Amino acid sequence: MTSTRDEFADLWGLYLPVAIIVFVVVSSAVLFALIRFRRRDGRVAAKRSSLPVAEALAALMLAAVTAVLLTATVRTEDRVDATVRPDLRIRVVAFQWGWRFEYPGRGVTVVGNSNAPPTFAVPVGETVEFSVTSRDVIHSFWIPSERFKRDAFPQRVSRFDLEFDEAGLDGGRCAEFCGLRHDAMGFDVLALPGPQFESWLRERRGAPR
Amino acid sequence: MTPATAAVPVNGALGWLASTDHKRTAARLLVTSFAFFLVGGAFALVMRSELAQPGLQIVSTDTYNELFTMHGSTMIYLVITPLALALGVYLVPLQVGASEIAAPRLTLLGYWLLASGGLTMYGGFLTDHGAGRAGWTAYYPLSGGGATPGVGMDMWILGVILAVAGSTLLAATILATIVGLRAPGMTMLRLPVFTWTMLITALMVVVSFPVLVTAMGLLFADRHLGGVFSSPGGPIAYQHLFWFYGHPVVYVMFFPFLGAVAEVTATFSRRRFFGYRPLVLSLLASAGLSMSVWAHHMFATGQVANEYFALTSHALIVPAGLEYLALIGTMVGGSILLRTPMLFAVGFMLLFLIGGLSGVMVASPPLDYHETDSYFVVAHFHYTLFAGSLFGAFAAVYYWFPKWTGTFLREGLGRLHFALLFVGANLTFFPMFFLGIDGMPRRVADYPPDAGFTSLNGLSTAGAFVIAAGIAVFIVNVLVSLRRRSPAGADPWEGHTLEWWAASPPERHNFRSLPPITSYAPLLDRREEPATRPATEGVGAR
Amino acid sequence: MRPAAIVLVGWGAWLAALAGILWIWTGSELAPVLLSGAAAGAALIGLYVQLRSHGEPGRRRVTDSSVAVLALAAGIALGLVGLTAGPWLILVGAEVAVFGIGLAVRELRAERRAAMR
Repeated sequence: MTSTRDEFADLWGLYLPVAIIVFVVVSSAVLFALIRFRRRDGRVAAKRSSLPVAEALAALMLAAVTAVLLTATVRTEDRVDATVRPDLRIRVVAFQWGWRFEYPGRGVTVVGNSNAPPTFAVPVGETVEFSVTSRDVIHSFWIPSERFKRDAFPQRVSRFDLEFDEAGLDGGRCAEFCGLRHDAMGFDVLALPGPQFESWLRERRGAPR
Repeated sequence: MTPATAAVPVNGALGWLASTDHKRTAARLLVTSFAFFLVGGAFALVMRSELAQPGLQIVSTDTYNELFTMHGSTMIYLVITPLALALGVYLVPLQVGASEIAAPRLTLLGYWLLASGGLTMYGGFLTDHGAGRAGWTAYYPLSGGGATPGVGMDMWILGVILAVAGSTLLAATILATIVGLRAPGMTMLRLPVFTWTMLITALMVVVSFPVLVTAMGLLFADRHLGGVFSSPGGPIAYQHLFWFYGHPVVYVMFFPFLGAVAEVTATFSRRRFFGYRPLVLSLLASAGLSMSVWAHHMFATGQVANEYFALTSHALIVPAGLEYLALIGTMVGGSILLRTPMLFAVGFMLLFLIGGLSGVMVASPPLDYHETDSYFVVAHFHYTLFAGSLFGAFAAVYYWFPKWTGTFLREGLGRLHFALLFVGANLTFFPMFFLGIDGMPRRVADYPPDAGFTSLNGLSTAGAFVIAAGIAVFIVNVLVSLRRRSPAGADPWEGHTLEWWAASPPERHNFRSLPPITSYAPLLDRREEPATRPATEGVGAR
Repeated sequence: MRPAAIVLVGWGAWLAALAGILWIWTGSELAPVLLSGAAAGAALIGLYVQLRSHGEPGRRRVTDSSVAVLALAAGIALGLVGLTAGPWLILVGAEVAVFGIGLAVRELRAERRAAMR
C-alpha cells in the first residue's frame, strides 16, 4: 500500500497540468478573440450563430477529459479508502478542544489540549489503522503532510489506514470548525523507526501523559 | 369605501416601500443587497487585518468566529442570492414582453421577508451572547443549544428562515412570469439567454430552498425541544438537508450572472449569441446535475457514497465547457467594443475559469481529503463567487444601469473600478490556494508563527484593501453618474432583447407596443433586415 | 403539451434519472429521497402548469402599492422572532399579519371592482 501522501502527489500530477492547460487554452482563446475581432471601421460581425459539428466535437472532448480524470480518481480512491489488516491500531478521540490518543492493547494513552498540545508516535513504514470519534461536536483529524483528513463525529467511529514513510515530526490540526479554540486544537505526530517506537511505547506504558 | 388603488401615492415614501411595480421591488433588492455587501465586506476587511500577522491583534477569537459566520451568511443569504434574483425580477418581465411580473404582491412580500430576515440575523449582535457564530453552515451539534447557546444564534436561524423563504417567493414569481406572461411570439426557444438562466435558477430555488427552511426549522426545534438531531445519525442527516440546498444555491448565485455576461458579450460583439440550443440544453443539464452533487461537501465524513457524488460533480465539466464555447463563439467573428460592461464580462470569463478548474480539483475525493476545510477551498469558492459572480454582477450593472436610470455610469471610473477589482481579487485569493495545500485550515482566527503562513496571509490582506478601493471607486461612480447625468436613450448599446425596446427607465407598465418577436434577439433581427419588418409605432421605434 | 410544461417535466425526469442512479449506489436513504423529492416537485409544477387554464382575458390590474404586504411581512417576521422573545410577540405578530390579510382582501375586492367597470 502506497502512502496517502504519494497517492495525492500522483493524482495531483494529473489534475494540475490538466487545469493549467485548460486555463491557458481557454484564456488564450478569449484574449485572441478580443484582439482579433475588436471593433474597427468597416468591420461587420459574422452572421453564423451555430456550428453543430464544433459543439459535438467539443462535447466529446470534454466527456473524454472527464472520463480520464474520473478513472484516475476512482482508482486512487479505492487505494486510499481501503483498509487492510493493520500493524498497529490507534484510537483517536477529539473533544473541545484537544485530542486523546489510545493504543489499545499496549496500555498507552496520550492526551493534550490547546494549552498543551499532544504528541503521539507512529512506527515508520507500517500500516496504522486510526479509529476517530468525537466526544462532543464534529471535529476533523488532519495531518497535512499525509494529505489526508477524516471528520470525527460524535456517537460514530470512522476508520482509515495511514502509512508514515519517513521518520520525523509533523503537525496535525483540527479541520472542522468546532467553537472557541478551534484554531488552537493542534497535535504532533512523531514517526519513529520500529525499535525506537517500541521504546517510546514502553516509556509511557501505564499512565496517560 | 375608497378603492385601495388610490390609497397610497406611488411616489411618496410609503409608495417606495409598498409599490408593487416589479422594477421598484428589484431596485429595493439591489440597494438592500448592496448595503449588506458593504457590511459583509467590512467584516472581511477586519478578518483579513487580523490574519495579516500571527497573534491576535484586533479582535478576540470569539468575535472572529462571529465575523466569519456573519460574513459568509451575509454574502450568501443576503447579498449574492438576492442580487441574482433582483436582476430576474427587474429584467425577466421586460425580456419576455410582459407589462408586469406575475403576482406582484407576492414578489413584494418576498423582498420584505428577505429584508426582515437580514435585520433579524443582525439583531443577534445586540444580544448577550452575540450573533450567530457556528459558521454559515451551522453544523450540528455545534449549532445546538448546548454548544452555542443564546438568543443571537436563534435569531440567526430565524433570520435565515425568513431570508430564504423570501428568496423562494421571488424565484416562484419569476418562474410564473416566464411560464405564463410571455408576449405572443415569444416561444420557449426565443427566450433570451439571460431569461433561460433565470428559468433554471428559479427551478433550482423552488425545489431546494424549502429544504433549507425545513432544516433550519428542525434545528430551531432541536435547540428548544431537543431530540431532532441528537441520535448518532443526526449530524450527518443535518448535513444532507443543509447541502441539498447548499450546493444548488451556489449555482443560483452563478447562472444569472453567466446570463448577464452572455447578453453583454452578444451586444458588445454585435453578434447574436452563439450556440443557443446547445447552451439551453447545457443550462438544463447543469441545473439538474447541480441538484445531485451536494454530498461532495461531505467527502471527508466517510459517510456518503463518494464515488456517485464524484461522478456527478465531474460530469459538470461537459456543460460548463459548452457554456464557455458559446461565449467564445459569440466573440469570434464579432466586432467587439471593450466598454466597461464587456471588461467585466471578460474578467468573469477568465476568473470564473480559475474557480471552476479548482472546483474540479475538489471534486476528486482523494484530492479533497486534503483540500477540504482548508484555505484551498476558501480560494476556490471566492474565485467562483467573488471573482466570478460579482464580476458578472458588475457587468450586469454597468450594462443595464442606463435602462434602470436613464443615465450611463462613467467609463473612466468604470475602468479604474475594474482594474482595482481584478488586481485585488487575484492578490487576495490566489495565495489562498497555496496556504491550503501547505496546511492552513479555514475558520481560524490565528495561526502559529512558525507555520510558514505569514507572508502569503500578508499578501492576501494587501489584496483585500485593493478590493476595498475598487468598491469605493464604484460607489463614487454611481453617485457622480446620478448627479452629473449623461442621458441614455431606450437602446444606448444597440441591444438584442426586448428590454431595450422600452423607455429608459421603462414606464410603469413597461411597453406601449412590441416589435415582432422573431428569435431570441428580436431587436437585432429588426436591425439586420429593416426593409422586411413592418414599421411599428411606439416607444423605442426607429 | 405546453412547451413550458415540457421543460419542467423533462427537467424532473432528468432529476429522476439521477435519483435512480443514487438509489442503487448509496446505502443511506435520506440522500435519494431528497433528490427524488426534487424530481417529483419539478414534475408536479410542470403538471400544474399544463393543467392550469391560460389566456385569461381581461386580467385584473394589481393595485399600484400594497400596504397589506408590508403588514403581512411585518406580522410574519415579528411572529417568528416571537419564538425567542416570548408569546407576547407571537401574538403581536399574528395580529399584524391578520390586519395585513384584511387589507389584502380589501385590495383584491377593489381590483375586482375596477376590472368589472
